[in-house]
Amino acid sequence: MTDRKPLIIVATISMVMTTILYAGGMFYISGFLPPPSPALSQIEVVSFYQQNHTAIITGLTMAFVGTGFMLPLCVIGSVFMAEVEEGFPYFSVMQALCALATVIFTALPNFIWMTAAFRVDRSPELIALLHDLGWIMWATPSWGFAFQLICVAVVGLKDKRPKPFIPRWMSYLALWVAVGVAPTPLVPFFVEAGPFAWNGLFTFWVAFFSPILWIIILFVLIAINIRSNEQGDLVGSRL
Amino acid sequence: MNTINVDKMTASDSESLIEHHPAEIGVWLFIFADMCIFAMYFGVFVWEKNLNPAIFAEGQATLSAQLGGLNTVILLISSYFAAKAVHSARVFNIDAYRRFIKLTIFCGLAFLCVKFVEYSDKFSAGFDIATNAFYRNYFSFTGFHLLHVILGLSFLAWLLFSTKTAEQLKENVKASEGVGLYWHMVDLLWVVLFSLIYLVP
Repeated sequence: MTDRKPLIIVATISMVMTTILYAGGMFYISGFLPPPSPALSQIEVVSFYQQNHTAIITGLTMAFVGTGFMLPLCVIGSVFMAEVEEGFPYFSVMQALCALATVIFTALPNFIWMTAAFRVDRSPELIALLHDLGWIMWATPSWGFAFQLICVAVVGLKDKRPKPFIPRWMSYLALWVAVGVAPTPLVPFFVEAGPFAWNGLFTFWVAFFSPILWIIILFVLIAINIRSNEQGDLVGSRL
Repeated sequence: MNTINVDKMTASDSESLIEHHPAEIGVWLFIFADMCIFAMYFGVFVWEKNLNPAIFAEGQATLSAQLGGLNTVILLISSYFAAKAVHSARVFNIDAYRRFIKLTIFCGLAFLCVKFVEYSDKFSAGFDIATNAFYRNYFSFTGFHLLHVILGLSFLAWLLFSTKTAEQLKENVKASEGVGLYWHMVDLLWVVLFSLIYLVP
């Protein structure tokens, strides 16, 4: 069995780095999150890019660096998962690969928005085009995250050890999050604001914050477990 | 169903009665969280209906309450079969169990067929998800519910394939209760969805 303590430390550092860089860059510095309405006029979009040129590039750069830290976090998840699986650790590998897809689709729109902000004298149509391209790419693909959570749930439910790597109810909650992010492919249908637009109730607020809620609960459980159990399995069975 | 004579109940009986709750706590958590999302859907529907009463009344008139009603009946019958399957699992009756699971799956597939007919009617009449606020709600909410039916069918199929002998059934009682509970939720949500979208004027 691998020594777990260093893994948990690295996972926690990654989690903190992702949170600070991504949330700081997207919400605070660049102002991209919460998302602007898709119904904004071209003039409003262009003035947003022209007036916040430096803040946008700084914030987006911070945020894409932050997404990189999701990878060590997810691969460490796969290490714990692989201990449960017999033979080739199919679901653990699948989870890590889908994590890569999540990271790519989260980071790539940042470069598209950065391109929009890059030349201040770029023609307004092109800025509006890149703005839309970035948002549709950011908000639509949820399958990477959904498959990650399904893999975690399958392995979690298979885990019959007295101390499973996550409590069984966390597996069910992971399945719920996977279902909750399912409506995001509806984003490209709606130009006007509404519950399924890219800033909508179901496609942004539920789909973005329910996975975050799951991860927060996971880290609370890990913290409780570390305080009460120096042996350091991930979460333990009592919870 | 087990009937319990309350007068003759011993202390251990009443304890086991209190102790036993069907399925795992995680399934209940899933159902609670999922129903919260559906509650938001219903809230959004009612909210938008109040904003555009004319569009919603016009849209509702184009829906087929017969097909929706047929699907309600199909799901209610499937819930009965699911309950019978869970009961068969508790008494380890493998033949009855497999028969009722198959019947539940059959009803679920019938629901999908009716839904297919209903959707293709709407598409051929020129309505789709981007038509207006009513159809956006109609297609996205019934579509999200449809996703739940398809998930439920996969769970049922998994039960059918992993439970072939009485020994396997003993392993799968809790799982059957969980799937049964989930299936009842899908049924319940459809009943609310049907009344809200098809019937309420």
